[in-house]
Amino acid sequence: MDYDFNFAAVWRDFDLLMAGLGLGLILAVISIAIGCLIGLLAAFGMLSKNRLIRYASTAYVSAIRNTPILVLILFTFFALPQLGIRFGKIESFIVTLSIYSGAYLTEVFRAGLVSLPTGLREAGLSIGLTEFRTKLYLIIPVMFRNVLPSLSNNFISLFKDTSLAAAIAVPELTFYARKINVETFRVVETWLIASLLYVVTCYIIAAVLRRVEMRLAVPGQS
Amino acid sequence: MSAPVLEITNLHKRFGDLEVLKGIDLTMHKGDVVSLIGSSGSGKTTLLRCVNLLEQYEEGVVSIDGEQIGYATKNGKRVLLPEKQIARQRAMTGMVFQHFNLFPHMTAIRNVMLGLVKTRGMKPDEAYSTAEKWIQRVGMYDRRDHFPGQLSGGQQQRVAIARAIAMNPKLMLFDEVTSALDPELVNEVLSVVRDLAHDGMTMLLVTHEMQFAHDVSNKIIFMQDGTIGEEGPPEQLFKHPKSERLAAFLKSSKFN
Repeated sequence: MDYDFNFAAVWRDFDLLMAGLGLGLILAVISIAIGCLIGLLAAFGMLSKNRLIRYASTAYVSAIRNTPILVLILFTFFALPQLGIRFGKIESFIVTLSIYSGAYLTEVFRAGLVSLPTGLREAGLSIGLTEFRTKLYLIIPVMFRNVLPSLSNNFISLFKDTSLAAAIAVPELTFYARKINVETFRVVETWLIASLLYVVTCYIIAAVLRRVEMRLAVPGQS
Repeated sequence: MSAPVLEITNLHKRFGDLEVLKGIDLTMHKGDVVSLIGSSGSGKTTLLRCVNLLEQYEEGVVSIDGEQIGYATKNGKRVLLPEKQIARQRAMTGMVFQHFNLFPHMTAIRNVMLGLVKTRGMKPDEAYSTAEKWIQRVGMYDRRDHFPGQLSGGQQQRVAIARAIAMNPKLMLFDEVTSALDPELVNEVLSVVRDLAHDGMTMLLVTHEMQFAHDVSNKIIFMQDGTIGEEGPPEQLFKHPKSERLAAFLKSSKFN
């Protein structure tokens, strides 16, 4: 191999890559927060007694999960404005990623809800809580702790998916890497550094989330 | 005389085509302890769950302290009450479950406090001292800050009893509260229930502990295929069963 590595050009614009990384993290955090809300509603929707709500939730999950995320990103950014729904590119991406993660989290939450013992709800009702308060104080907190490991995985996937925002010129890490690549022609160095940044960041996120899981774990429960 | 604590008239409950309760009548006055016995599938637990409306039923009236539970009659039609009203009525009874059903993410004392704060509207410090008192009563004071997963079955069940009784219910419902326990843990729970009976708590129990039912109750009801097969004071029912079915049941549950 006689490739001459030269990282100087990449280092010069390293702050751009870091800024892009920061934006990617922010996009992932906002999207998973909104996605959690959507997922929670849709998960209860899928378990609803009302057939219409059940069908609507199922349709949402199937439609989103069976569409490639890049297509969703392009659809929201290019097609929706034609129909009169306009966003900036960052807002557009957040909307897409939230709806996308919401569909996956629906399945996570639904599984979490189904696996709860029925006695939990009945115990809540028996002390005079309404169905809503039973969900708020008992069902959701217990379910949430149980699904936290899947939630962590989803968050890491979602963070990696922010690289697709480059397709609509959202200035995140992949966008800047492509820019540096084009301007410097240091192809190998640029993409090597960008990859490493993703790997290291994901590794740190996983480690942090594991600590959060341990802190929130209920003592005495495996 | 004041209204009975619990009055059930002509209660019918169906699961689809299967009629599990076929017209139950039961009256309990303050301080009564009534045990429901009978083989599985006879409707004991369902009857108990109808009292606090964990099961809805098709026909009949359940009243607590003279107030009809769960349903009202509007224009000659029987309608389910709004959820808020049902929630309020449920808190008139305290229920203890076979599988404890503690809130796994809360410490023992928080389990007891939740209903006091959210349903009874107590301030947290008032709820804490009330909860503390009942946790103490069931002998769990030392472990009040433990989570359910850190407690034995018997300890969990005692916390569950404290959680129900702290709400100051008019009637306590016990659904086979020792059935899920290891034999050596049964007595610690039964002695708590016995104490409550001594204090004059009105209680309706489903139990397989015949000796306990005999000792603690002033009335035994033998359930049989969704009806009351036989009822009466424990002495009479256990020593002089009238029906073959009850005699056979008592023999099989090794009561002597």
